[in-house]
Amino acid sequence: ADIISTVEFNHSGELLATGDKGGRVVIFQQEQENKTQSHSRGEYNVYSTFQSHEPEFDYLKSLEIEEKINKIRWLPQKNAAQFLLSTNDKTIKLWKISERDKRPEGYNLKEEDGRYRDPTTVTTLRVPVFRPMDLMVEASPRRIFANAHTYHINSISINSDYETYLSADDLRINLWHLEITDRSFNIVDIKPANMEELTEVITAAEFHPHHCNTFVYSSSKGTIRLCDMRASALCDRHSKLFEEPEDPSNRSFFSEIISSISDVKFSHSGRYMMTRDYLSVKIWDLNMENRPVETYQVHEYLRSKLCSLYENDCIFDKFECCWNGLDSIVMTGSYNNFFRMFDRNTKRDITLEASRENNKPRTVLKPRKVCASGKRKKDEISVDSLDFNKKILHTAWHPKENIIAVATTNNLYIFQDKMN
Amino acid sequence: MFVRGLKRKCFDGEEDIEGTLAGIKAIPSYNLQRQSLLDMSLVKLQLCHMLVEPNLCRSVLIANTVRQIQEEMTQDGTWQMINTQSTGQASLDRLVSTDILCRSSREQAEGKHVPSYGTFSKDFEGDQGQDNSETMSTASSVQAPRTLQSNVWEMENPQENKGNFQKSLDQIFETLENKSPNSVEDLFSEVDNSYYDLDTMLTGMMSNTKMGHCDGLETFSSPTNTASNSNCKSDLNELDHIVEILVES
Repeated sequence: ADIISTVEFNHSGELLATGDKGGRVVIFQQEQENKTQSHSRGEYNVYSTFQSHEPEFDYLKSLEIEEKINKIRWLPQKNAAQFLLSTNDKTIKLWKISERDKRPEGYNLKEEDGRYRDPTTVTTLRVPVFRPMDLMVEASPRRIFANAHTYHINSISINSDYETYLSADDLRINLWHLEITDRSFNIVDIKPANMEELTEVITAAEFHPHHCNTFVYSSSKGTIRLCDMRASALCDRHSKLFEEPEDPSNRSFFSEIISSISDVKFSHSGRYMMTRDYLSVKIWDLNMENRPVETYQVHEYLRSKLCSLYENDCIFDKFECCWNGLDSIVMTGSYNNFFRMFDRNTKRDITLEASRENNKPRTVLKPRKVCASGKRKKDEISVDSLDFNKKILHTAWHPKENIIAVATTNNLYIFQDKMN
Repeated sequence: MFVRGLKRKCFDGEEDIEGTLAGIKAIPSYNLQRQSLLDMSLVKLQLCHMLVEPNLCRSVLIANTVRQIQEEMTQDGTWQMINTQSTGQASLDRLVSTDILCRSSREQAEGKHVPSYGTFSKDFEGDQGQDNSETMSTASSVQAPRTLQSNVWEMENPQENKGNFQKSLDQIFETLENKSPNSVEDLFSEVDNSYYDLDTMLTGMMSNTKMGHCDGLETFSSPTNTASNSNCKSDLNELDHIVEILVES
């Protein structure tokens, strides 16, 4: 139940939310920067914990509905409270997280403990005042968006209008208004009339960061479709189709599986989007559909092991990816608790490890290297000794600073760049 | 790593493949590997954890892989029935459990049309030279995956689906038990209640190292004379080979 299933910074980066397999959400808050301690930014401490989703049982189908949180997305802050959307396979919830650090005291008709006073004993009147109290962080569900998905929800994305959002399952995408829970619009439906003809599913979807009419969705066949909601109510016809032709020399029975896109993310600028498939990260220019502009190999050494990875189901692992605030670096996870960063400008890349045994706090991470074959140099790790149970599927990058959150199976690591 | 285009060596006694093969023998028999991949995929499709709805994306990808393999096998002509009864030897190579899978689905789906593989079975039905039983078992072995697909995806009829899975799984267990009780007991002693365990067991058992069994598969070098002659013939003798694969150490 402690398996982390999603990680997300809020828009300012001050808050970091994680969701886990047990349906809980834990929010961390960055400490205010200490002016005297210039060598580090504020640490992240637990701010709030709450149970977002509970396990449910679908009586009609005799199947359990997992409480695992698949995605969390923050709304931009409009007032003192924070809002986020969290979703499991079937239901999306809007949570309000608010602070309470004062409480009213001095009521006329109530005692301090809440009991009502006998009105006849009231001889004077006073105005209640607010007095400070220990900070309390409360989370309350404000909206529940349920019963709109037959299949498992894999993505939610808040529109740049901050009024609507989309939710995507394997076959359909729905558009919601944040205020309205009893209705949603279906904007994409790829379910075939005959389910036996099903060969492709939706794997991820996201709204464009600036154009509120545009969104993309990726598929298990390695395609990305960009849709314009102005074109028609049902966006089954894409405006653009992004697909890279297959490399015939790499063709195998596993080609389709490894081309399946596990995550799609727009750059902050909105000009590019990034996709993650099993072995690589690709950057696409929205103006060019026939191939990506950049491709980065995450763990090419696994290409010769695809049969084994198919056998143990690792080939179906869904890795996420993320951009840094400047869109200059992209990051994604791998196995053995490794994660990779690619600098788009310098074309350099680095492999780092999130593990307590190998890294003490406040020490600089040592770059790692995997030896694909042949002579293994000192400090290199051979492919066959990689631990495929230690996978980093979820990573997040602070929107403004070089602080990253990396989730291993059970632990959350927060790294920052060395400050001088 | 599978390499397409490598053909099997022509073995004595295999008259009907003589004309179609090139001379190069793949070191691990490509067809054997492909057959095992097909088997593995079919097992994966069946062993969905029925407590929670199975992952649709994974099922679709596996089903597509199965379809790909079958299409290639059709093109290769290895989908044909090859008559090797004269050897009198149980072909070590006939791994496929599709007959087991067929039986339950055939019972369920008598007279059912086979849409996705329509063209394929039509070719066979038209072929007068083929033995009738062979044709039927081929058609139904083709049908099995399709029915499996619908079982996996038609969430609208869960009870029926669970019945199908249960049935075909039971068939496998039944027949395997008849063949080689000892190994089967070891393998499947706890299967009754939880498909979870079976799944873990199968993948666990097939991997010695983390990379596991597939390394052996990828460098498979032990086929006998008849072994490279892989096909989907419905034959109960295939079943003990499934057990062999599962317990390979």
